[in-house]
Amino acid sequence: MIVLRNLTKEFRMAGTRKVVARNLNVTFPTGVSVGLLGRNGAGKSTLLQIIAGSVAPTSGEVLSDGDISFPVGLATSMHPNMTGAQNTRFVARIYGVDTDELVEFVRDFAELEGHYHLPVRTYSSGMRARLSFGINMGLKFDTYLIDEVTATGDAAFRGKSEALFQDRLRDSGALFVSHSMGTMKRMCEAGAVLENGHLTYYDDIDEAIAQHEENMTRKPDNAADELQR
Amino acid sequence: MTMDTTPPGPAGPSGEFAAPQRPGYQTGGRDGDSLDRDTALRTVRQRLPRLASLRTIAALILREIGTSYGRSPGGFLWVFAQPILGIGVMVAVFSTGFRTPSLGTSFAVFFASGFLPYMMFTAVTGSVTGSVGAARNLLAYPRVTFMDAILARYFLAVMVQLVVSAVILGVILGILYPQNYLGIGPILNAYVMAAALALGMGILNCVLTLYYPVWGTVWSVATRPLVILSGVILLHDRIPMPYREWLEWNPLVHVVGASRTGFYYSYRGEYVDTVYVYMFAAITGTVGLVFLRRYYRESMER
Repeated sequence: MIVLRNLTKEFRMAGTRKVVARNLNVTFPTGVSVGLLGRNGAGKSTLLQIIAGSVAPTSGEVLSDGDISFPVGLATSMHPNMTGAQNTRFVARIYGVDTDELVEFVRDFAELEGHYHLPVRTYSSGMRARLSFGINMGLKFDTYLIDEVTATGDAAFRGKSEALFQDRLRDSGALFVSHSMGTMKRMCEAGAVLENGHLTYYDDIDEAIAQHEENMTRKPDNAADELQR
Repeated sequence: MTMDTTPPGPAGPSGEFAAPQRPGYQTGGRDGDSLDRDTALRTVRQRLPRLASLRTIAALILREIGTSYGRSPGGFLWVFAQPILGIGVMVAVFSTGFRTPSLGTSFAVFFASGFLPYMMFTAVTGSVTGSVGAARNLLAYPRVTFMDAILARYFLAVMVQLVVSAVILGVILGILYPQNYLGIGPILNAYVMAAALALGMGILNCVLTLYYPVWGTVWSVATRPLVILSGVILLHDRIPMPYREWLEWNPLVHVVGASRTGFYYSYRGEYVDTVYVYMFAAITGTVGLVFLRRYYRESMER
């Protein structure tokens, strides 16, 4: 279970204020895969980073009774000058798991072949995502944070990723961001919609998608933020 | 299971509290009753295992060894090049112009006793200065904090400098110029002071270079003359007043002086002020940490 308690997050940039989260109080239940929906720039990735603990909230807190993964995604925490294998080994060490096992698991899964032993800065964004996803899936978390990652690689790789992820979801929960509504429907039971700093939780992903699609027919409500600066 | 575990915030308008109840929610046998669960709730930082930070520091040290020493041929041996070259040049130059050093009879002992603790400061400061910048990408992992990055580099650099000093002093004192007196206490004190100064100054430099990248260049230019102003080459007692008193504001003068009292029985080093050095280290370190916390929070918000 993950509890957002009075969670507020705002950015001040170039004199304007952008509110990503406005005093959120939401509970994500244990073991449920939740699809996080919202328009571009609504702050879905930021919210995942706050939940992971790699971005600080402006106020409020995130509470959990289980282990939360670091966010998997394109904007990853990989070190560009370390190779894929070195990054994997580093993560294995900080999470206290067997380094050789994880290195082997990721090598088999991510299909980076020779690139696995080259610096990450030489990777394409898809290769980075595969590496990041592989490392994350090789670790045991109670909640996985997945940001737009299953859309990489060819169809065979996507199929393999989804199968592995479904397997992890048998005893873990997830917070899942994807632009593909089809993927969302397949992977998620519940949904949450982030709109204008408000997060609404729905038990049923279909309900959440319906709400999200209705939101998308309206213009974003930025005017209020601009006035409050 | 209801929402009763999450009281809405004091200022939270009820309209924003949007999570509906979930009668169909299965706990899957993972949770106890709601009381248990409530007490188990922790923030991400509180949930870290007790030794997580040590594990992260160890991982960073292993990574550092791989990137700093593993790349170039010869690797670790290069860290001996600077002190051997520095001491060698000083010995060569001064032994041609003078008959004996200011203390004792061996130029090698005189310069090594000053230059090695001096290097403990400069090398460790340099290492700590770049620590957070170098670990930037890794700080995105929730388990890696800036303090882990600083301490990992610090421990590694201190260990490396201790090994370098021990080997070079071992060769000089054990083989080349054996001597009877060796005050382990004062020498250790000098090294601990140098290491403490390096931590304080390194943290301050670290945050200054993060805010003003030009600071790195300023620091390296400004500290070039330090080797002369710290009593490594000219014995502090030989410097005329009032310059001598002014130089005592430089904490490295006290480090070098303390070290020399350990190598020369007759050398008293009355000017050495240990308390001043530790105060200097504590103040620079504290100021650095205060600004580093602020910087870290700001950079985490990007």
